[in-house]
Amino acid sequence: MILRSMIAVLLMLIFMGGHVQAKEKQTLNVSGWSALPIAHEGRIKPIDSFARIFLFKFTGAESVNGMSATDWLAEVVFDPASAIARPVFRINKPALFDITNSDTKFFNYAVLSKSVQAKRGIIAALIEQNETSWTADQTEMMRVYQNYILATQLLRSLTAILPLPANADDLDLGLEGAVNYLDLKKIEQTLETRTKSTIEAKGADPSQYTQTELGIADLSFQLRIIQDAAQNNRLFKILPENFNSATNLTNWLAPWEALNEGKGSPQKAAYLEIWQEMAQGYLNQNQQAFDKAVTAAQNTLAPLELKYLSLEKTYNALHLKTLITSLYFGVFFLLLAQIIFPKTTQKHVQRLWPILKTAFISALILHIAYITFRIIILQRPPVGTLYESMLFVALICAGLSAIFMARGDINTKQSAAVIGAFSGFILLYVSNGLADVDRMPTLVAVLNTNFWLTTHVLCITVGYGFCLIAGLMAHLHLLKWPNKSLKSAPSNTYSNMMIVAVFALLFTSVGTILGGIWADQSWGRFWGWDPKENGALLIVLWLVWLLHSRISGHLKELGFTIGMGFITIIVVLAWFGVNLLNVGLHSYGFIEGIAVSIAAFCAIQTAIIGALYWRIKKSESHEN
Amino acid sequence: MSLKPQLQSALRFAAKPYILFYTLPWLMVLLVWGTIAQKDMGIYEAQAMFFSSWFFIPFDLPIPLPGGFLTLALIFVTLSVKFIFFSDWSVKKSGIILTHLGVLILLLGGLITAKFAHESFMVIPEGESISSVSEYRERVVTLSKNDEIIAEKPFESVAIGGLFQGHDLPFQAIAKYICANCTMDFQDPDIAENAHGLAQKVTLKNIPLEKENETNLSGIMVDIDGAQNAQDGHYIMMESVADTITITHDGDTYSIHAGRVQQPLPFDIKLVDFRRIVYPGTDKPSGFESDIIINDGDIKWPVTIKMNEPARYKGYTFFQSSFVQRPDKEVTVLNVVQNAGHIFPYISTFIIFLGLLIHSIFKIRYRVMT
Repeated sequence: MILRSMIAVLLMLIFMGGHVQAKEKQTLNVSGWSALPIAHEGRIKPIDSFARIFLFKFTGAESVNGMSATDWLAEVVFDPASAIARPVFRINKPALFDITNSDTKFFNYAVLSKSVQAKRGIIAALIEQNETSWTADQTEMMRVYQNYILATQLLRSLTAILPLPANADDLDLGLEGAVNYLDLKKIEQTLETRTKSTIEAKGADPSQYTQTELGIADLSFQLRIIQDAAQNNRLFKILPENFNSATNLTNWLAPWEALNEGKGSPQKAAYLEIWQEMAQGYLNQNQQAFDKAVTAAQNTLAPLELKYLSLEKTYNALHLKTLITSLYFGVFFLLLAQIIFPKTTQKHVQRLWPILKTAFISALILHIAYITFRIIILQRPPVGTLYESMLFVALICAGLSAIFMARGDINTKQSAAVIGAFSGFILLYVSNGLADVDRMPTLVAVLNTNFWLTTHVLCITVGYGFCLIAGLMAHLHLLKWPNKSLKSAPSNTYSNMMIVAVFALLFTSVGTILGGIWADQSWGRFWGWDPKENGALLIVLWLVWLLHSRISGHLKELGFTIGMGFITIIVVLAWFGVNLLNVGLHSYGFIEGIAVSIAAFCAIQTAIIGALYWRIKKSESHEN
Repeated sequence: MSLKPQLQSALRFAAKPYILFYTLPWLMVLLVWGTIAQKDMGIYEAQAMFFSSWFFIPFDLPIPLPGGFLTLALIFVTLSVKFIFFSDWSVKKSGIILTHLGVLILLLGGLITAKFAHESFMVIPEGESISSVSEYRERVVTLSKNDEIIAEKPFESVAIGGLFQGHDLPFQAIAKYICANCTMDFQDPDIAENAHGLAQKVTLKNIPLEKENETNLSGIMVDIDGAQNAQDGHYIMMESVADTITITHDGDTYSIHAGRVQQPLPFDIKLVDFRRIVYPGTDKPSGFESDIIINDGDIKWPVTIKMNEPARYKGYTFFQSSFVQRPDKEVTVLNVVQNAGHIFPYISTFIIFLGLLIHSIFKIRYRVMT
């Protein structure tokens, strides 16, 4: 680790001595560059997405001090000497790294490197331990360490083609002007031989060397340092293995991976030359030269038929999810005010209703667009992870509510809107907590099947959506429980809830059986009493029990509504709770750290339903 | 008193809704209880106790509680009686009738699967053919003479001091140490002097059993006595590591093998190639595939087994389950299932979907009309 640290510092010193000192410079427009492809975590994505993922990983945001993620990444790979001075690395507990008297949690690479080196003994010991045994502080320390490793790799991504602060004009090496690693690599043997003979003749004291000898020794030293620092640098995979492939299924390599592992080819060398021109353009702040190189890169990759990179860039730029969440929240907040304070707010809300309705429908349309973007970009059905299931269930909830908003009186419409807006907002908001840094991941092998993702997964998640809406309708029905003494009109909410419950049963039961058939196709058994399977069955049984008990008369309207209110708990337990057990074949869904949240949700739900029940009973006893 | 009113009364009793009203919550209790129990017991044990039982006794209670079989049987009976004798055979109720029929078919398929389905596995190295399947949980120790089995003992019945004596054996094989789930430790140098094969370097040590029985690796340390050519001494047999001891005597070859029970297949399967396909630029697998040839007399059927795409032949279904990367070649692990009831869920899904859809449409129609 000490060696790694020394190499890191020396490497940065080498590039610092170069053309651009660590000073503020005009920001080049890197928009075209950010649409170039890069392979990351098994998916070909635009550099824009890659930049956002890593900046978010380091800082917790997709921009830093007004600098966009792509501007930041361009600086990191083309001008690492400037990038190391930029404070983008968040350390949540600076004291863990003995950083005191600091009023910021953001530090630059130099501080990060020093901090990690100072704790290398502890980190080495933690690496040997099982991750599950780490304390919160140890987890934070390892997070910072992992970010340091990633940042180090990123900073060195293009060191093979970046210009070195050396002029080979007068060294009689057949080189002219600025040189880079690749130039030096071609004359490595000559450099070694001439440095060796200088040392043999004049010893190791550089003061005895001539200017030429000193220059050659310096180049030899730089070559070795850069080479050593580039071991296992595999993060910046911009080189396709095959430039003429008709698909994007070819393997992709990082520049150092191709160089160190003998996977070079004339096409890769030509493509790297284009990147070299890009680097030169960036460092010289020459927009024209930079854009020209970017266009050349795009033309070189044209045969690969890489689709949807620009679409993904647009998707990233739109920040649709934030917009949709805000709209849902706004609609919910105002309508909730009307439910809680009907006398004071009703008049205002009624006046605002057309706007609220438009806002809700706009949010729904944007939500559909958002999911459609993801389907096109990922080329698969919309649900493959827990995070994606929340996005989709939110859409189902909002969409279903919109259907109920189409009919009935104003109260029914507003009730449907408040339910749809609440479920849409809460699911989208909570999904952030379950999201990986990469929100568009590739799927594990067993899930890599569009047929079953379309049938079983969509069916069961649609079922979850219907269940949640039925559950929320139950809450609303309990909240607005008809006052018999006032002979209030029968509520539409109850009959709507009955219909939703029947559809919820349709989707969850068919979805569960389809899941069994998938298991039969994949693992050889229809039903294995696996926690995930049992969770799905639990929802079906609960609905079957409620509906049959209502028909048989064992449950009256109040009992049925309360039971339907509890479906939210059953769904949350089946959806997330069973994944906490870490048992069974559905290992791709295992999660940790949300047990307390689930328990709190169940407790709050029980308390709300209990309080509403108590209120109704109290009201009924007064009536009697 | 005629039998008919009695039968009618019994049927009416069996179709009472309260049976479902009480059995469904109990089934949900079993489901939650059995699911949580899997964390400590493992899926197989929890399944056997809560779901595949007529009764079970938890926490040493004085009375047994109804298990999954009994609960499901009660639901099946009440639903069957209701369906056959008390259904409202009208168009309006056709959705409910179809749904109930679908559930009955599903439960019937579940019964057939629970009683007759059989699961095993095959481990096939590339280029090799295998004509038997291995049981997941049953283990056996076999003694063969010139590749012909002459004696076998269930692993559980092997005791220290025993193993194979007699059987016209010219030597004795005595079990010295038995572990149901073994790990390896460094061998004592004194013992190593008189040991053979793996036993020269390692000894076996018992470790706690895994929750899932099939993941345990059983082993036996054996002493051979009376063999020719300095073959006497200590030996080790351990599943998946070194599972066979071979002794030659007077030109005959004797093998003692410890491992899973093998069941012969009526055909053999050759693994031509195994592929682990990864996402571009990563080691993350996007799929696993095995090219196999099923050889059955004159029939040679080349087929590729993929994730979610099994191969079916003569009542056996072969699924891509796992793989082993050996230094010399890749080895595929196939899950092998025989299940006469596997078609039932397919039929029931269609019927339940249709039934609930019709019922939902009628519900909406009624809602619109009122």
